[in-house]
Amino acid sequence: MVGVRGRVLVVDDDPALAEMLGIVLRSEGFEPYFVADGERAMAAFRQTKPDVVLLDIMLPGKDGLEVCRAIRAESGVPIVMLTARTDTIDVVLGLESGADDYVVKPFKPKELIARVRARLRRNEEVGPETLNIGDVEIDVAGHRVTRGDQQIALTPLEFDLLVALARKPRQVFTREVLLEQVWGYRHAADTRLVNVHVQRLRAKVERDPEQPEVVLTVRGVGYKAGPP
Amino acid sequence: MRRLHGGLIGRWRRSLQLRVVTSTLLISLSVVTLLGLFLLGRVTQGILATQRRSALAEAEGGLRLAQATLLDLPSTSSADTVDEEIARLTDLLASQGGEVGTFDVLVLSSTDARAFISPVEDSSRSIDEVPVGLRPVVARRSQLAYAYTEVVRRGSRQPALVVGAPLSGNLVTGRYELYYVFPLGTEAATLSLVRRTMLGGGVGLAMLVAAVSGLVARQVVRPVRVAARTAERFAAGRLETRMAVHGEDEISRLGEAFNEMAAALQQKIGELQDLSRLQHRFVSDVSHELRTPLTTVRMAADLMHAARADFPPEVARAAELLANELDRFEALLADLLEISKLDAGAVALDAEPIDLVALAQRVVRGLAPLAARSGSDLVVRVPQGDAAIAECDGRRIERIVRNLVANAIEHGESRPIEVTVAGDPDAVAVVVRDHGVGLRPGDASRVFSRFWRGDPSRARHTGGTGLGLSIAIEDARLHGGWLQAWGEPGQGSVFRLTLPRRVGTELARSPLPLQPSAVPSA
Repeated sequence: MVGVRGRVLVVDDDPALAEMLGIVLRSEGFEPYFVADGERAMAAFRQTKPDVVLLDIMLPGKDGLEVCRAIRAESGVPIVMLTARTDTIDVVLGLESGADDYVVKPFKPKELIARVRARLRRNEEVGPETLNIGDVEIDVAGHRVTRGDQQIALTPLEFDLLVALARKPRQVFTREVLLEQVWGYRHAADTRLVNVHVQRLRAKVERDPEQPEVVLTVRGVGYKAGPP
Repeated sequence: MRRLHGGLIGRWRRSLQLRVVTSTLLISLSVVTLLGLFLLGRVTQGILATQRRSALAEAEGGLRLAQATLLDLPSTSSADTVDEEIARLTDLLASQGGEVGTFDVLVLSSTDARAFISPVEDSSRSIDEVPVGLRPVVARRSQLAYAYTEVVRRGSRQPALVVGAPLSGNLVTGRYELYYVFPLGTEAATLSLVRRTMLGGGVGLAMLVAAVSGLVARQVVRPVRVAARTAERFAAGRLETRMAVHGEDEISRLGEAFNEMAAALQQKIGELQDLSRLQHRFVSDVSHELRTPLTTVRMAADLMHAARADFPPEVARAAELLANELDRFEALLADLLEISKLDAGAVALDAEPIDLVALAQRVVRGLAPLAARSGSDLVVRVPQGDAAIAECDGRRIERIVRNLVANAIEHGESRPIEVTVAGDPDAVAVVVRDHGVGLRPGDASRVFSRFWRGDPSRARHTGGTGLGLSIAIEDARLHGGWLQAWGEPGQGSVFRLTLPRRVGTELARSPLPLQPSAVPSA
């Protein structure tokens, strides 16, 4: 055992799965906390202050999407959904409710751990660096995004996405490259993750999300940062 | 002009009413014409026969009188007296007149050019009015002969009957011929009136029949048109469409029958849709319910698999088998769910412009380890050298291509595998070619059947679910694309995916051939 690497809140109603998740997480050095229904999820969240939330979308009481929105309302903590559904609509709804990533049941323990680690791994050693896209200023070390005097609150994932684009302003990023750089996927994964998060990012940083100036779409290829 | 012509032909083929009216008009016109001609012939004959009988009777009376007069002439008479006598006779005959109306009388000498014509005052009468053919007949025979000709009376030409007979005189007088010219102006006028009346009546009658048939056809065709429109709407998917039924005639019976059929179809289709929805729902629920316990099992198995070094050999092997078979179980579950979704039509196309060259390269990169393990050389060829962009659902198309390449690796006998991507203005194609066992005759269509196995005796390396190609062809259809296979035993096989550049356009041809040119067709 390598000591505690992070606190993980598991929101799942299936006791066997929750226990198994606990075994796997603990064996990888995480510190798991459990809550079995949506009603008590927020209380548990506030109490445990986790570094990552594993959230089952199908929950008794309050459903996973609502819990997701509630957590997102007060925190940018990484949320990884556990879902049994691969239907576009379910995945997209989860992502739009604020989840950063998802794993589809049945997943392998390694896959889950990789997703959790990817959400916890942050750019630790960053020197002072300021990036600009249009009139948006990004303080990379300070994790602050501002337009004029106004601070824009981004989740860590949205921040990473914006920084990845802003660091190479002329480069067009394919969705696959972004999945690798921002989400940490080594193999091709679901590009809808990128689409939904770009939309959420635009909703926050663009003046008019219908006519983006910060995150531009390159049809048929991917995305790139707008001119500084 | 040609367009008008084409339009007429089109109308002719489309409109039953037009055809009925036209054919009725043609038939009635020809019947009326034949009938008219026949009647006109009978009337003409009748009128002429009556007139001729009277004319012959008149001429015969005149002939007897003239003959007697001529024979009574004393043989001592001088030529002038004879001429005088004959002129008087001519006038006498001409003035008799009777029921045959006016006529002219000519007495011609058979031996010289002397002619006696009555009445004389009109210079238009001459011996020319006697038909040339009639005179020899009259000269040869001793009784009446007649012929029809045309004469001019009061400035207009009209038909005429000329009756002639020889007059045998004595030595002094010589031989003469007596001719009666009966102008047939009145009869001609009557016949012309009859002809005009019949023509007008016939045409009118034909028109009337055509109009009636048009009206009748309209009455029949209109409900048929309504029925056709209703059926078209029904076929287009508006299952609630019904025909309006009035009365109890045949058309209403058609409407009732149609409505009954529509109701039965609607009910059946509804039942099938419900059933399909229910089935999909059930498969989906089962699959989702299975997933949570399966996840627990999966994690437990992986945990044991990771720790198998600490187990006795049998248990370690069991842990290995458990983990491997769970992979297959999961793949099967995922494929079953996917195919049930496709079957239920519960999938939405998430199309965006995607470069199939990049996609093929990505798939090949992803499968390179598998290819390396089986010893197959895997290359992507782009003959046109640039991107091939088509509107498609990248996830589905990548799944198709991955499936094709994985199949090629599995059945490729470690020989090279080529993936070719090309496009034309309308379509983009990806062709996966292997040089392995190939396909037996008839297998090219069977490979897409569910759970179909090319050769049951062959060992399976990649452990496919048997649903991969079935899902692939459904995915291709979802895009309006084609997925086709070609293969010969020992020649390897070719799988070709063709997608339209734009979603919703019809494919006409593929930019790449299905059958490799190097292989002669068997």
